[in-house]
Amino acid sequence: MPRPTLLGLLRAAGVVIGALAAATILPRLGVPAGWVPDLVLVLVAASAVLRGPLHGALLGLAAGWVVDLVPPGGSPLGATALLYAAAGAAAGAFHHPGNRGPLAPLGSLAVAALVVGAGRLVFAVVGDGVVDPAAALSRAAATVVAGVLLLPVCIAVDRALVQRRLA
Amino acid sequence: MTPVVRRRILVVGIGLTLLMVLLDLGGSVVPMRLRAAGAVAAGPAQRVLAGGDPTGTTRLEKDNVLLHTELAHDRASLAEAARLGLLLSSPAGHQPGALAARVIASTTMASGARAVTLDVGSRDGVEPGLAVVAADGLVGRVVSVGPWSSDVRVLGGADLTVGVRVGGARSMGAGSMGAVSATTPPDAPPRPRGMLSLILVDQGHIAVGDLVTTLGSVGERPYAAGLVVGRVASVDPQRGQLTATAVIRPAVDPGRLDVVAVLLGGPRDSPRSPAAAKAVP
Repeated sequence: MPRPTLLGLLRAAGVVIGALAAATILPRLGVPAGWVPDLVLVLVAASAVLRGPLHGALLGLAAGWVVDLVPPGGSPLGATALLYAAAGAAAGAFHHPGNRGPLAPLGSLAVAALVVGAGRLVFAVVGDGVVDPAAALSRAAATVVAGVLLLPVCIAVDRALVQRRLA
Repeated sequence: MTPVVRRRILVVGIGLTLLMVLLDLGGSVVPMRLRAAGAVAAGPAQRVLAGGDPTGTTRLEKDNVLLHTELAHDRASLAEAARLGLLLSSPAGHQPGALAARVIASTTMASGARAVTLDVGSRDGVEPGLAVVAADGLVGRVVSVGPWSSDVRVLGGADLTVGVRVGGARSMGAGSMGAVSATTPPDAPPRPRGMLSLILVDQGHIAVGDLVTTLGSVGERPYAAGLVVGRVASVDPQRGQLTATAVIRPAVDPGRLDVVAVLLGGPRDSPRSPAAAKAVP
């Protein structure tokens, strides 16, 4: 087992805080239900675009389990984990080692948000038989907007820790 | 870790997750246990994050919800007593225990239905299946319970159907019986977002604006009688269906839930008299 690194601990804390924020803090602050961003997905996309699809899928799977288990949680249990794993892999496909521009992370997050939104619709059809595509689209849009603000921060912190060999 | 090991971990992880999804869709208890464990871990943090109450308005809102609930129950009891006073034994002394609670987390499912988490749990006496009300009327039903928190499926979910009476006040009788759910009946026009559908058990008379209240359940679980569900927003045109259908505007806006009450109820401890037993079909 590898020893936990500062970056790994920060990543885990970020996922838990993001899941709690999306479930508890943002709705209490008055963010409308359809516009709550997937904060955890931003973290997954930021890490995946720096390291590739395999890392993205693993991180997405673990982060999705956290989101599923924080009440009120996902339905069915494990669905968010699968969708985040797919989204993390899709975001990782934007990984190009030489590229440091801002467009690749944003593109990866947009694709990840769409993957999660489309997957949620599929699970809604299977589970409830009723879908609301407008809510799924607004949620993906809110996630991308949150990503415009948060992605540069996440990526800068990640790169700084890697340079100082704390990753 | 080498990429090969990581790939193996990913494959095993996805396999286990798929298994969990199938178990949950199949109604196994394992996902329920895991959810309860998640509630144990996250419940205290969520209660803290949901914030304190600097102004005292929450307490007042809680009182408001409790009083509204008692009022609805008393009104239902009065109407029942007036209609069936001679036949039914009096429901006096049968108050449902109402437990005030706050919404500490919420999520929107892809179906557009809402699920919320309350800051009361099994330590406060909450059990799965209990009804949850706000000051305006019925909110939904408790589906899973942790020690400090409980999850509520809000009215409008595809798996939530409520037995109701419609138009009792207008016809001076008990009102027509029916069922309210989010599922649009076949042949009916599509519903606007957030609206519910009513299907009467037969051809009753429904008018726009009629009050829709719960029918009541055995032992008042999940729903006590007389809780307001909503009002009739429009009546579907008759095209030869066997039953009348209508659109219901829910009394409670699921997007603005804050202080609610869980009706702890409790089973009826004294049996009804034989006269009542004969009168109830």
